[in-house]
Amino acid sequence: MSEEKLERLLLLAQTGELSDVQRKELDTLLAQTESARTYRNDMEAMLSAVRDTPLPRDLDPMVMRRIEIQGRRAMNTQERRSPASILLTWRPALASGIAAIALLFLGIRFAQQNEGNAESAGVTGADQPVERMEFAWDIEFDDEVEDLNDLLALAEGDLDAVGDSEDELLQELLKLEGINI
Amino acid sequence: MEEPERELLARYRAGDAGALGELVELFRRPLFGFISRMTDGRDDPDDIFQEVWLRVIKHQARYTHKNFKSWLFRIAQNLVIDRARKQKPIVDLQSSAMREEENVFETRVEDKSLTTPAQIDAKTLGEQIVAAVRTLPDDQRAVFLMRTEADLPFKEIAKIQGTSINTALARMQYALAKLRDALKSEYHELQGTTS
Repeated sequence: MSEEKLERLLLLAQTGELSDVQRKELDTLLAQTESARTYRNDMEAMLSAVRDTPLPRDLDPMVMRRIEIQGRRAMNTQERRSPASILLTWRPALASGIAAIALLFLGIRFAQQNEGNAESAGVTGADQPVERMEFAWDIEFDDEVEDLNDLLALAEGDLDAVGDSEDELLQELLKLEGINI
Repeated sequence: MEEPERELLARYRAGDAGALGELVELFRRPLFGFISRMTDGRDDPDDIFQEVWLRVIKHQARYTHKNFKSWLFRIAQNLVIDRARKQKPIVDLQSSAMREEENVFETRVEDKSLTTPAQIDAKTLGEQIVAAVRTLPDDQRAVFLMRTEADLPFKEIAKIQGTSINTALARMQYALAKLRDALKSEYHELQGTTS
């Protein structure tokens, strides 16, 4: 057997990771060969010499203390986060949430009821002309877009494109420049 | 629950804060030894030791592995590697030499218990081997120290390193070969005492 294979078997024997076949093979070799036994003893002496060599210094005892403190802190945090404690902590929030869901449910029910009434009265959505509802902010926005278009046309010198309010717009522009006419 | 660490962890999970202290104490020597010899003055081993346990505390609720010791050393190895990667390669020969002298001095001060010449020789050889271990590449050094300091089996070492058992064994063999080479004369002396 090669030295490399012997070493491999010896290493695995130390950790109890040998198969039955390997175990028998190694036992036979160790029983029969003096050099194999010497090799095993040397290797074991080498490894135990490292194990027995003291470390340059030991762990600072304060580190142990800090770990224990962190451990207790983590345990307390976990207790605070347990399902029962979460329920207790969030009870007001839970009540608000349930109330919101109930209101939403009632709103949906109310809307469905109104729709049902309309249908029973013979008025369906298909019969109704679809009208776009116009809101105040839509109207203001449209006006502003129109004014902007006019101003752009003025800037480009396209006076024909400007509507009737040309003078008013010019006055406003001058006002912006600080000139009152 | 055949291993003490599993029982201690279960007790800690059940709310026994003292069990954590016992658990840390159980692994204090092997874990600190591993970190200390892996870092070799590059980083503060106290700091890494603490960080390992803080991670254990943080993730213990999700821990489902069979082998707690492997998990612990995996965290330690990853932290050591991460820190080594982040650190700039500063070679401070003067402080390194001073540190070695201090180590030898500290060891000699601690060696009051030594009585027989055989023990003194073994101690000296141990120091020389430890010094030679520092010269090994990180992966070989990690395998060697996981065997000597933590007494981990090769199957677990392979899992920690994300490799096969054959690779872990080969790394150990490379490490042993290099150590034998570095300690040629001392090794022959050792052969004389063991044969």
